[in-house]
Amino acid sequence: MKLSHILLGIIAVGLALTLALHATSSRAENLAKSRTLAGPAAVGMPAPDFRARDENGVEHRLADYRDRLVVLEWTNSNCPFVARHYRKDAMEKLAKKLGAKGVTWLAVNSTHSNTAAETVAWRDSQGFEYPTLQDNDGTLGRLFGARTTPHMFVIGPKGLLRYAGAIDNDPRGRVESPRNYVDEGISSLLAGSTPDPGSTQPYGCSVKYERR
Amino acid sequence: MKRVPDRRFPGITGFAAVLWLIAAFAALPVRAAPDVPEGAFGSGAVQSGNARVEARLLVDQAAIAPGQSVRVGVLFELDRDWHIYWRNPGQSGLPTRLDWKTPGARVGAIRWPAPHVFREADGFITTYGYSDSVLLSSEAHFEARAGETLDLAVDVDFLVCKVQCIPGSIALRRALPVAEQAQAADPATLKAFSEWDARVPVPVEKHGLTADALYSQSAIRPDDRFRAAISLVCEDDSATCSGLRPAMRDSSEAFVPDRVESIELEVTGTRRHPFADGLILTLAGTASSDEHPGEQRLAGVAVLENSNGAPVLIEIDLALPRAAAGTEVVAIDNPWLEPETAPYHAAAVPLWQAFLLALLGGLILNLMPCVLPVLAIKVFGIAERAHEDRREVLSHGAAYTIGILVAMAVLAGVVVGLRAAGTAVGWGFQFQEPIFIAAICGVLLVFALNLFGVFEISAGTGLTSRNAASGLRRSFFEGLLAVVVATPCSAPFLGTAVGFAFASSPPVIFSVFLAIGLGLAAPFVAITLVPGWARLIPKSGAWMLHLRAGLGFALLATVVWLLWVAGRSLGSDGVILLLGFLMLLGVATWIFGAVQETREDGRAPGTALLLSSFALAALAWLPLQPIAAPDANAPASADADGARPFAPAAIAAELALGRPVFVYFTADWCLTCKVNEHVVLTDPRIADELQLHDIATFKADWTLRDEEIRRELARFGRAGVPMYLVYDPRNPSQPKLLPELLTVDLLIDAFRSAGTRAANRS
Repeated sequence: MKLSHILLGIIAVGLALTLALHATSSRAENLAKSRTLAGPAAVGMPAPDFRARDENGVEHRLADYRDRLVVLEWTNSNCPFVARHYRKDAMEKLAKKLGAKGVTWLAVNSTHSNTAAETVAWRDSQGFEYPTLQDNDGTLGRLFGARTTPHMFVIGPKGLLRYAGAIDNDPRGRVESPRNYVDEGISSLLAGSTPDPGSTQPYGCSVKYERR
Repeated sequence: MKRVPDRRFPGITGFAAVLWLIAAFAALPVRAAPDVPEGAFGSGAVQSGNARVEARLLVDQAAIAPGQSVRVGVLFELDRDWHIYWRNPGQSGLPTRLDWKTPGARVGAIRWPAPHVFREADGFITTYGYSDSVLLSSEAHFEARAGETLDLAVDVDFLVCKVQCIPGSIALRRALPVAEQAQAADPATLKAFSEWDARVPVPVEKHGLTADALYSQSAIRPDDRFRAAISLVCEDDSATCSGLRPAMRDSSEAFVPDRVESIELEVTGTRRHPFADGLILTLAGTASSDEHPGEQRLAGVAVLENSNGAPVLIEIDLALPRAAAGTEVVAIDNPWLEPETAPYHAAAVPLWQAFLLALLGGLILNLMPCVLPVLAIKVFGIAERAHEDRREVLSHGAAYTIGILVAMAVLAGVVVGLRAAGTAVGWGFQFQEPIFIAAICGVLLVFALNLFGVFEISAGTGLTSRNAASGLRRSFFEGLLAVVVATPCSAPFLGTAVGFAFASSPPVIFSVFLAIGLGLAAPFVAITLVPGWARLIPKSGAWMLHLRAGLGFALLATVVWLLWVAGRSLGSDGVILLLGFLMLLGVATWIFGAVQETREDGRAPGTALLLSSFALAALAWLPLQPIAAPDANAPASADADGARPFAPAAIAAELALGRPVFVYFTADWCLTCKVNEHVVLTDPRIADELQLHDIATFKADWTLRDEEIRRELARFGRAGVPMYLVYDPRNPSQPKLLPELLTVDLLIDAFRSAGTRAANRS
C-alpha cells in the first residue's frame, strides 16, 4: 500500500464519520425540538396566542376573539374520519348552532401539502362558512399539540384552553347517538361551569405535518 | 399476497424501481400464509383498486375434541409501509378490534404481540401497531359434542395507515368439525401460531422478574406533571432475565404503555438497576385537569432482551395511585426517577459508529500535545532500528500496540469494576486522584532522565536476544505511557464514543476502549509496516543525542503541567511534597545509573528491585490531601467572567426569574476546556453578549471528584468534560448542548437565541 492510499483512506473515513455523526446529532436535536413544542397547550392554561391566515388571506389572531368562545377544528379533507363527519354535515351543523350562541368556529389545516385553492374547493363543495386557517408549516398545529384530524380545542372567553380531544365518543361511527364533547363542553361553559371531561383521546388520521 | 406496484410514485426512477422490486421479491418467501377455506379469507381497505389488508381466520386444530380449548386467531397481512394499530394506538389511529361470534363458545381476550413504535412528523406523533403481518389470537373453549359442526365467525375492524388512513372491516367465517379425537391443523398454521405466540408478552413472574413502580409523588392529582420509574429485577438464577437491556436502539421504545385515562405518559429512557441485576424504565407523565378518583393501572409491554440477546417481552401491570385536586401529596425524590439517557439519545449511536469514532479518535490523539512527546520517543526508537532487521522493527510495533491495548483494557476493566461496585465514574477520573498524578509525574521523570542518559534501560553488551527482549519490554511500556497521558486530551474526539461506552454493557465498553487503543497505535504500526517510511529517518549519529535530550525536556514540560494541575487541588504544600518525591526518585535513578555503569553487562537487577520498591513505598506514604475547601482558593479566572459555582438550585432560581443561564463544565486537567476558556470564553465579545442578554453564568469545576457534576454530565450522555449548556428560561427543561470545541460565533448564536426569546417573553 502506498502512503497516498493510506492518507486518502484516512481522510475518506474521517469525512464519512463526520457526516454520520452530524446526521445522528441533528436527528436527536429534531426530536428534542419537537418534544419541547408538544407542551405549551394544556387544558386549564392560557391557550397559545397565534396569528395565521385563512384560505382568503385574511389574518386571524386569537386575541381578536377575546371575550368569545372559540372552537378550533383540525381538519384534512383527505382523511376518512373528517370526510365521515362532513358527509353527515356534523361539523357544519354544530358550527352553525354554536355560532348562534356567539361561538367562533375556526378550522385549521396543518397538512403540509394543502393549498388555499383546495380548501376553497372543499369549502364550496361542503357548504360551510367558517374560515380554515392555512397552517402548512405546522407551527399552529405543533403549538396546540394537534395530533389527529379531527382534533378539537375549545378556548374559553378569558383565553384559557377548556377542552382538547375528540369531537365525540364515536371513533368508529357506529354509536346511535354519540356524546358530542364540544357541544357538551360549550354548554357547560355557557352555563358557567367547567367542561367534563376536559380532555379526551382524539381519534382519526394523524396530522400530515411537514417534515423538519 | 398480490403486490401491484403502487401507482402513487410518479417520479420513480428506473434504479429505484429495480431496488423496490428486489425488496418486494425478497419479502415474498416469508409470506407463505397458511391456506384457509373460502369464507375464512377476506380483504379490505381498498384504495385505487388495491386491498391494503388481507385477513385469514386461523384455528390451530383441523377438528376439535369436545370440551377442549383451541387457539383461534386472525392473521393480518399488510401492504408494504402500511400499518394497523395495537390495543393502545398511541397519539392517533384506532385499536384493531376482533368481534367473535361463536354461539356455544367462550373466546378469551386477544393475546397482543409486542407492538412496534412508529414515529410520525419527526417524533411529534407516536403510534403503536404492526406492519407487514401480525396474528391476533385468543384461546377459545367450545362446549360441543362429537359429530357436530361449529360455526366460527369474526368481524374484524381496523384502521390501516401509511400516509393516508383507511378504516376497514372484514367478516370472516369457517366451520369446524367436532370429532372424538382432536386433529392438529396443517404445519403452516401451527407455525404461524407458534411464531406469533413467541412474540406475545407474558407477566413478569413468568420471566423470574419482580416489577415495582415508583412515582415522584405519593398520588397523582389533576394537572400534575410527574415522573415514574418501573424497576425490573431478575430474581431467577436461570439467567433468562439476566442482564436485561432495551431491545430497540432507541431506549424510549423499551416500554409501550397502555392508555391511562386522563394521563399522558412518555418514556424517557432506561437505566441499569444500581444494585441488582435488572433495569429501570423511566417515564414522564402529565395528568389532564379532569378528576379521576381512585386508582389506575400503569400497564404496558416492556420490549427487552437478556444478556444472550434473546427477547424478553413482559406484560407490566402496576398500581398508579390518583388523588383529587387540592389533596396534599408527599413528594418523593429518588435518583431512579431521573431520565438518564433519553432526552439526548446518547445511547442511540449504533455500536459500529461508536467503534469507528473511537478508532478515529484514537488516531487523532497522536497529534495531541499530551501524546506527541511519547510518539516522538517512539519514532526516535524506530530511527535507531530503521536500518536494522525489518522483523525486529515489526515486533517493536507489535509490542507497542500490545502495551496500548493492555492499558486500554485495564482502563475499561477499572470502569466496569467501579460501575459494578456501584460508583459511576467519568472519563478522566484518574486525574482526580492526587496519587495518580504523582505516579505519572514519577514515570515521566524517569523516562526523561533515561533520555538524558542518567541510566540506560536497554544498554549493555549482553546477548542479542536478551537485548531485544528488554527493548520490546520498553516498547510495551511506552505503549502504556501513551495511553496514560492521552486521556486529558481526548474529550473533543472521544466524547461521543466514550459517552456511549459508559452507558453500555461491559463487552461494549471493552470494545470501544480497545478501538481507541488501536487508533492510537495505528500511525506507529503504519511506520513499521511500510518499510520505506522508516528508512526516511536519517541514519543514527550525534543528532540523536540532541533529539533525545530535547524529547526529555518535552517530558519534563508535561511534568510541569501536571504539577500545575496538582497544585490547583493540593495547594503549595502538596506541590512541595510532590517535588520532594520526584527529587528522591531522581536521586534513586541516578544511583541506579551509577551502579549500572560499574557492571559489565549493564544490568543492575538487585538495585532496580530495591529502588522501585522504595519508590512505590514513597508514593504510598505521600500524604497528599486535597485542600479542604477549594472555594477558598477559587481561581481568579472564575471570578473574572462572573461565573458562580455550579448549583442546580441557583440555576433553577435564575431560570424562574426569566434569566438565560450558561453553564460550563471544566477541569484543570482538561486541556480542551482550558483552550476553550482562554480562546473563546475570555473573548471580549462574549463578555458583551453575556451582559447584553443578562445571562447568568455557572462554572462546574470537575477537577476534583464531584458526584453532582458527574450525574449532570451523565444526564446529557457525557462521561467527561468539557460540556457547555445554554438554558432558555422559556424552556428550562431543554437546554441547548453545545459541541466540545467552542467558537465565539457558536456561543454568541446560542446566547442570542436564548436571550432574544427571553426578551420577547417579558
